[in-house]
Amino acid sequence: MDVPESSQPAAANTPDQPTDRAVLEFLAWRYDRLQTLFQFALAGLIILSAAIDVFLYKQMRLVRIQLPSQRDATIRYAMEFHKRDDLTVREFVSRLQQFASTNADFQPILDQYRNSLSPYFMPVTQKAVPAPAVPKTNAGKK
Amino acid sequence: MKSETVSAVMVLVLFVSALFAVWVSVRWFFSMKEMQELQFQQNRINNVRIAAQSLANESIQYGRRNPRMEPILVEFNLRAGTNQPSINPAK
Repeated sequence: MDVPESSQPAAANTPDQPTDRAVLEFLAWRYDRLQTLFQFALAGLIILSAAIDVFLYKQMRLVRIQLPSQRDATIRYAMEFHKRDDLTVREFVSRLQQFASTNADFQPILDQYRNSLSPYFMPVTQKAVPAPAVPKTNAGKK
Repeated sequence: MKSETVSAVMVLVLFVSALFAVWVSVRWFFSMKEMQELQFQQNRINNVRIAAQSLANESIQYGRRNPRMEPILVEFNLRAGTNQPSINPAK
């Protein structure tokens, strides 16, 4: 390290005296060095931060430009579906459910779509299964 | 003294830059969230259409084996001969 020269002669000339001046000069020099280093680090951080700002701003602009058209398209698409196809699918599935109740071989085909078309399936009324007859025992009776 | 002022100004600039990054990030996050919700909604409708179309096709196939399916296919314009299903998936 390039330490200031003034500190060495001062220490050599007066070995018994405290070298306040030399120490102060050395500390001032170190302080300046540290401050310069700090400013360089800050400058680097500012450049990095500015680059991140520019990147994020461009990304944000890109998304916000696409958003209104995407929103309009989705609303139009959903309205068109609900107006035209939703009712048709509901009626179609309902009719197929009625059909499957009388034609058991169609039920497996319909069951394949129970997950993907779950909102369109009508709740199936479970037929009451008769409880198995419990054989009467005379164990409790005397 | 001048050096300290420069440092203070640089710290201030860095702070403002960080604040700007946070503000832009928050806006970007919420915009992306809305965009994903819109895309999810479109995908959900598409999946329903594709599933309905597939069910219609299987019903047509089944109708070839079981003529009792015919009235339903006719009602929904899904007769195998015409082959013009009314439920079309999105392109």
